[in-house]
Amino acid sequence: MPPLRGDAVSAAGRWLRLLARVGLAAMFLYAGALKLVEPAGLAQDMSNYRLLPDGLVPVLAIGLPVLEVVTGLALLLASHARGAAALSALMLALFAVAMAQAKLRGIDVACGCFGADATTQVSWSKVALNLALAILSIWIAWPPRTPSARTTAAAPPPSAQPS
Amino acid sequence: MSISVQVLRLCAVAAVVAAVLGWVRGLPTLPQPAAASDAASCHAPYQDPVAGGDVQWISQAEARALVGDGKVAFVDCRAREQFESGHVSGSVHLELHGGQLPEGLVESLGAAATVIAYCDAEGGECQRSLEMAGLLRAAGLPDVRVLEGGLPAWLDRGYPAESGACHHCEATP
Repeated sequence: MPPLRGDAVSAAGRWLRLLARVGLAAMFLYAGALKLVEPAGLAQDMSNYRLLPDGLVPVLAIGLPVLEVVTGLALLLASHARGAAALSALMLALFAVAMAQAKLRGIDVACGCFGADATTQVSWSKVALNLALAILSIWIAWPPRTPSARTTAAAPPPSAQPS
Repeated sequence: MSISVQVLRLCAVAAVVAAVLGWVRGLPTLPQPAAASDAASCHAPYQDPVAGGDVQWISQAEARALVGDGKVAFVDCRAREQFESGHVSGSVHLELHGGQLPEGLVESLGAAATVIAYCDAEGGECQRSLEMAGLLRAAGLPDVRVLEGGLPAWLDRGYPAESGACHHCEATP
C-alpha cells in the first residue's frame, strides 16, 4: 500500500510543520513583546555584543522586536507563513552568528534573547539552539517534496488563524 | 505568492510599525562611553601621594595575558551600574566610599599576588583606579598596577569582557 503510506507521511509532515509554526510563532511573539517593553535594556545588550555601530543600535533596538512580533503573527497566517519562516531562519542564523562571534572573541555577554535578563549569558548551547531552530524554520519555508506531496502540491496547507 | 514577496511585505510592515513606534516613544539611548582621546592620555606618569610613587602602570597587552591567572585580581573601580553593563572578564567590583577602602577588602584580595585596577579613564586621568591603587598599595598589597587606557581601550581591542549582575556586591557594598 505505498500510496496510502505516502499520504500518511505527507499528512504527518503537514501537521508537524503546523506544530512547528505555532511553536516558533509563540517564541517570537514572547521574545518580541519582552524586548518591546524595555528597549533601553535591549539597546544596552545589543551594544555589549560589540558588533554594531553605536548609531545603529537604538534603531535596531526598536526594529528587531517589531520584526519578531510581525514574524510571529505571520507564522500563524497561512498566506504568509513561508515568508515568515524564511525571515525566522534568517534572524535565528544571525543571532547564532552574533553569539558565536562574542564567544570566540571572549566577550561574556548577557544574551538579551528574551528581554533584558542579565542572568542569561551567551553560551555555545544557545548558539546550537538558534541554529537548530533556523533549520526548523527552513524546513517550514521550503518543505521537502515527498512523492505524495508532488501529487498533492495543489492542496492547501492546514491554516492556523489566530483566534 | 512567492516567499520573497512575502518577506518583502513582512519587512515593510515591520518597518512602518517600527518607524511609528520610534516616533511615538523615541529611540532608546545608550550611555556615552569615554572618548578615545581620554583613554589615550591615561599613559601619563603618575606620582601617587599616598604610596609614594609605588603604583605601577601595566600595558593592555600585558594585562590581557594575565586574564584567568588565579594569582591576579582585576579590580573595577567604576560605579556598580557601569560594572554590570560590562567589565573585564573575571574582575571584581570595588568602589571607594568617602575615599576609604571597603572593610574586608584587603583580606579578600590578600591571595592575589598582583592587583590590576582599572576605571573608565574619565577625564583622561584614570583617577578612580589611581586612588584605589594608591590605597591598596598603602594597605600592604605587594604588587598593584593601574591599567593603561582603562576599560575603553580594553574594549576597543576586543579583549575578554563580560556583563551581568554583580553577585558579590551585596557582600562588599
